[in-house]
Amino acid sequence: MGLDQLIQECKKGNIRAQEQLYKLFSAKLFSVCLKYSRSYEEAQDNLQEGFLLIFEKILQFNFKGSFEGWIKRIIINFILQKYRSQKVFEIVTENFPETVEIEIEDDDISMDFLLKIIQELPDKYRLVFNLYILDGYSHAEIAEMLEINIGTSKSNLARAKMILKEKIEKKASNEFNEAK
Amino acid sequence: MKNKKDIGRLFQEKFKDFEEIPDELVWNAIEEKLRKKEEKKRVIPLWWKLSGVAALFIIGILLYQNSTATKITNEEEKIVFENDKNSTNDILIPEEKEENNNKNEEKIVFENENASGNKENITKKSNRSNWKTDKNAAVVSTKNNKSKISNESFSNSIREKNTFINNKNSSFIRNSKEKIASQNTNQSEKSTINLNTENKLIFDLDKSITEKKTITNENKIDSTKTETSLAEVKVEPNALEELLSEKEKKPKVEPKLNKWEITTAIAPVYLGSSSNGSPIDSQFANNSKEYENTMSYGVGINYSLNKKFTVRTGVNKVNLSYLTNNVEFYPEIGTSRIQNIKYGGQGVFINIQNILLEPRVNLNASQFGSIQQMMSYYEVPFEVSYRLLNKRFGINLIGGVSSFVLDDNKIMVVSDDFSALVGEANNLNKLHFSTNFGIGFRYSFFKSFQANFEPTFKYQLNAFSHNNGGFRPYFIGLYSGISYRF
Repeated sequence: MGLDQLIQECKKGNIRAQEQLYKLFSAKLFSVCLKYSRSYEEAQDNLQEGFLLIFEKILQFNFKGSFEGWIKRIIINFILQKYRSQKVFEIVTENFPETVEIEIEDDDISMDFLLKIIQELPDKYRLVFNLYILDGYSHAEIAEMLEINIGTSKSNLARAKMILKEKIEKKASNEFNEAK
Repeated sequence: MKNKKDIGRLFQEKFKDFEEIPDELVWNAIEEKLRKKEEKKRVIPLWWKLSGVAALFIIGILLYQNSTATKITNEEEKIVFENDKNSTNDILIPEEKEENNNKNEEKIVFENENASGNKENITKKSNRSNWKTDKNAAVVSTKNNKSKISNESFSNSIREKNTFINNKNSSFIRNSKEKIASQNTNQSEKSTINLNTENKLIFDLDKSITEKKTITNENKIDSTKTETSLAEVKVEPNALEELLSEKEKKPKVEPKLNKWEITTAIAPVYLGSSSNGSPIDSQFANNSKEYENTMSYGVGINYSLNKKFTVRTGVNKVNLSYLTNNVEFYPEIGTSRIQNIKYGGQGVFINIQNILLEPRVNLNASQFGSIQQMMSYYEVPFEVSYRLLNKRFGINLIGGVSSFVLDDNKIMVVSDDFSALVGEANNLNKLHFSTNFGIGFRYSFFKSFQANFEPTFKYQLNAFSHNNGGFRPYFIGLYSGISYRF
């Protein structure tokens, strides 16, 4: 069954088709959830609720544009609106560097670790970091999605980078020390 | 080797193809919720369908009642006979025609004293019919597919009983004539008409007939359905005669078959206000108001939902007028314009003032008199009436709302020998509403005609859009007129 046909069946509420769709996209969407959520468990909950939302909204999909992009956007928006109620006001006064560089051995860093420190970021930093760095949204788009202003978006990104850099460097030096 | 890299790029590269398969339990939870939603979705449309069917059924019954009620006048057209050779004496029993006969059908003619009283009338109207008379036979037509009558249709028929008992004769005749007509046309049609008419005829007989009794009656008749000849067959004459006599003992109830009624109503209208105040200007708030007697005239149309409740609407033209006394007015293009007046005509040159106000100016030229405010509306009432007493003389309670559309709007100054148009009020709403409450007295003086007298109190809700100055008008109309039922 082609994807379009599968989508049609899902529109009708065919549970077998819905299961197929889930199997096709769950890995990708779960990775999205992992990046945006605070923990593995929360990511699972978000995936579950996200898919239920997708199956509801699938009726509105008009076969225009990428389906994968569409469902990914649904999940991201779903997670964002969960955090939107949290008001974290940032007063942007400081200057921050655009690029934050890190000295690193590529093989030193494990995915698990990177994922973990992303999840450990404060929500607003994590969301901005993911949206900008990993999912390619612009600051203008992020500002709209998170209902913050562009300056805040930029400063949040910078702070996220700083924190991540610190954590990576700390881990690297620990390992270095242990290796000694 | 250590590389310097922008941290952002580092993450991008690492996460480029990041995918992770979630635990099975996630899908299990999703599937469970999906199934629950499916369940819900199935149940709701079912309810909608059921209620839709029920609604259609009820509407169908109401329409059927309505249409059958009005068929009486079309008797002659309804009777379609192929062989009109035989002369007729009285009606009541259709003569079976072999070519059109459903051999399995049996007909029994029922008749009682009241019917016989009308026999003459009926004869005259349908001379071409091939009816025979038989005094003591009962008409309950039966069909093969009697079993199709479900309990549901029976109970619905019971609810219809009032209309048919009250107009038993005409409905009986109509029913029978329908049977004749249908016989000559269409076999299949016949079954449905007969089915319905059976039910109605049965409940025609007596309110007190229980479901059981009629079913048993019908079943018994059913068992003898191989007969083809008509009329002379007497089935359970005893039971039926019993019902006959019971029926006769019942007092004749005024036929309520006619649901529609048109009325005319003229009313003297007494305007008042529940609080003193002036919607013209606050300076006149405490001036005495004199409410003039005016008239309302209109027509109405009523529809009876059942014996007790009737919904009513119609159109009236109502004129309201009152005076604000103790004012003086004089010609001057004054600087003190009254806010709520839109000046027109000569009004620009008239200055109005409360006599009791200081300072008084221009004593020589001023006239003493009143301000007359006149408003006329087209009123569309929406009311419900509840029948308290239902004899030749009836009483009902009336309640509802009316909507008023502003037509005429004038403010004038009047004195003993002078009057002039000042302008119009600018604070009157083009559309406003009232709540109505009244008591209706009616007297049936001739056939379907009635005389009505309905004093009704109508409290105006939002006559003024602003600055009503504490003036809250209401009016009482003594609506009297004639109405005709059909």
